[in-house]
Amino acid sequence: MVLKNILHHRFFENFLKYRYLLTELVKRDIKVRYRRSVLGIFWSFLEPLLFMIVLTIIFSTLFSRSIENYPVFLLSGRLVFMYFSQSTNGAMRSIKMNSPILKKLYVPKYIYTIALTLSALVTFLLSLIVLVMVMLATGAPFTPYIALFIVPTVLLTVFNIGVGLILATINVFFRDMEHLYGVFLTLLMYSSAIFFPPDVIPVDFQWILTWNPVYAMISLTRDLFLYGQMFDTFTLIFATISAIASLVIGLVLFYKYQDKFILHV
Amino acid sequence: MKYYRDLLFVLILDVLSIIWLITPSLSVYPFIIIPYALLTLILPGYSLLAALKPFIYETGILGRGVLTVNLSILVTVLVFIALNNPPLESLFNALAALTIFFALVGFVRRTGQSKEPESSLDKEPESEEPEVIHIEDDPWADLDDEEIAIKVENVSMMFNLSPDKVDNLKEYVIKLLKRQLFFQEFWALKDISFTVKKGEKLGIMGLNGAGKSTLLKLISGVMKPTIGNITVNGGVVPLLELGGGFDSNYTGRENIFLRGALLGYTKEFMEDKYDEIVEFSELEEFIDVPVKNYSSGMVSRLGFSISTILHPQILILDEVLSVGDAKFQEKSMKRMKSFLSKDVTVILVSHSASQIKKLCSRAIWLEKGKMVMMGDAEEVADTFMEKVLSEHDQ
Repeated sequence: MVLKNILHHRFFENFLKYRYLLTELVKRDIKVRYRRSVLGIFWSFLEPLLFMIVLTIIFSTLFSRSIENYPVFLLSGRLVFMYFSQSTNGAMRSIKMNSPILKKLYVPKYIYTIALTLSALVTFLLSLIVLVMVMLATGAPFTPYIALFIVPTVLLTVFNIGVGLILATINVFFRDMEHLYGVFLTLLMYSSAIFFPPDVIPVDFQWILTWNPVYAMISLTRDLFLYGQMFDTFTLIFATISAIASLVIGLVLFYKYQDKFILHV
Repeated sequence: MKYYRDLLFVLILDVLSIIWLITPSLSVYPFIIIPYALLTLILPGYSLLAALKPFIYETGILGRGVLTVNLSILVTVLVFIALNNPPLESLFNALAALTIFFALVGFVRRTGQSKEPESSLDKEPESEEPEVIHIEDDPWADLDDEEIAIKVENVSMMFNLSPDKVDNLKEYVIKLLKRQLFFQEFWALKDISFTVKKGEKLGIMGLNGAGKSTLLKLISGVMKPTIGNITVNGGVVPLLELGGGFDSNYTGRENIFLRGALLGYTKEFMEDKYDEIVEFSELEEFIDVPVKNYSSGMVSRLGFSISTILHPQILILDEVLSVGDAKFQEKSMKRMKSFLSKDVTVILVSHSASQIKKLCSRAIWLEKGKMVMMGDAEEVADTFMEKVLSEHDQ
């Protein structure tokens, strides 16, 4: 009964009604992003590849003792982090960006925010091809665990939607959020052990990694692609809790303030 | 006043970062500390910046964004290093001292210079309330809910017209601390009530600033009223003024599908209607050209065609019947008249008394957010024109 009520909530009914809009918005975001560039969608392959090659040249000797396959280590971390930063950054701007149409037409506003997250998801899935290519090139072992990559992907997407909703709400009222968040992302990158082994961080500061949801997602991905093993139970639980918590906080915050957006954009 | 704000901000940030630095035992509670620590790690960088602001802006060497990001990162990295290497701690301390020094210098320099004009918050003298001329009794009071398209009950809408609206976090914190968050109320609509039957054509008249557009936005659901209730039965399709809200980088074709999606239609439905829309808009040649290269007439033709061909249940028209050239105007007028016989509910906003008379059966006249007249379209339109002309003569 309760479940039925929840399923009949405005949120889900709207979601069904506007799913075509969602696909259109995702399509638009991807089109606009690649329309101007000659290489088009291949940028999403080329960019992480170049990044990986440069960093591998610089760092692989430095970290070769503690990391077996540096290219795969780097790329798996980098792709997950790029998905997080791209989708939350986009979602943060989504309401402001769509303000002309927001002022004219009624559409559930979270559609704009979620569309940005999903378009980043498409880029992320495409760039996983690069990861597989690099794994082939470096002779990394393929284990059946790779099929589980759907788990971190779903967790990360839920987490990103939640964070995106929170940021979009704040950004409507405080426009300096964009600058602050840029700085925050840089900090987060350094505290997510993307291009250095996690044990580089001193013991006193290991908690930064332990309680960092983005690092949890990265380490889940690495378990599958790099180490070919089952997820670490604690990390999996922590990642799930943070994904759900971020979604709930995001939805509550967004719903509480969405009627005021129009007065501030 | 600006330097006070900056200095205050720097002090708050410094205090926060010092608290974080001197309480290592807090790391026992990682759940609390993570967001807190990450935030305070940004703060030293941000605070240094805020302090250096007057100094650096005057030299004009660096842009704002570049500076913020780079310096914040630099300082953060320094904090990390200083925490692990005792010798570097002194460097960090020196940097902190430098921060305060620059803050003071900037403070002194600023004090000597600019003075911000006192913002005048005097309220404008209350303008006199417009007089109510005639409001008919609700003719649809006895109808069932199902026969009613729109029901507006005692709706009022308030905006905050504060002269300096706070839109960033820094100012908000400072103004909150100084208890300077002002609000200046402005009531765009005052106690509006009316009912529209299904299939009825209602006209809304009024001078600029009477609250017509606000009323339309409330009906289409874009805004929520401050007080009162609005019930709408059926999908609302607003016709945007001069085709606003198109994506200018998108072609005409892509925009048709995007608009259809925004209005909640399915892909199949849009594919069905696509040819008809293009044909009516007479844009066959230009349909694959980005909308940014359209003339304004072409854009509004496209907008008009999309909104009217989708067979909406409720159509909202805001000053749009003067779209395009003479030929298209005639065509759109014809199209509007075809709605007269259909079951479409139409709300038309217009300055033109003749349009209201031709297309509407009832009309509302708004003045300064208040409804001054409601009743037969002919009567309202005539009285409105009389009033406008007589005021013009004076």
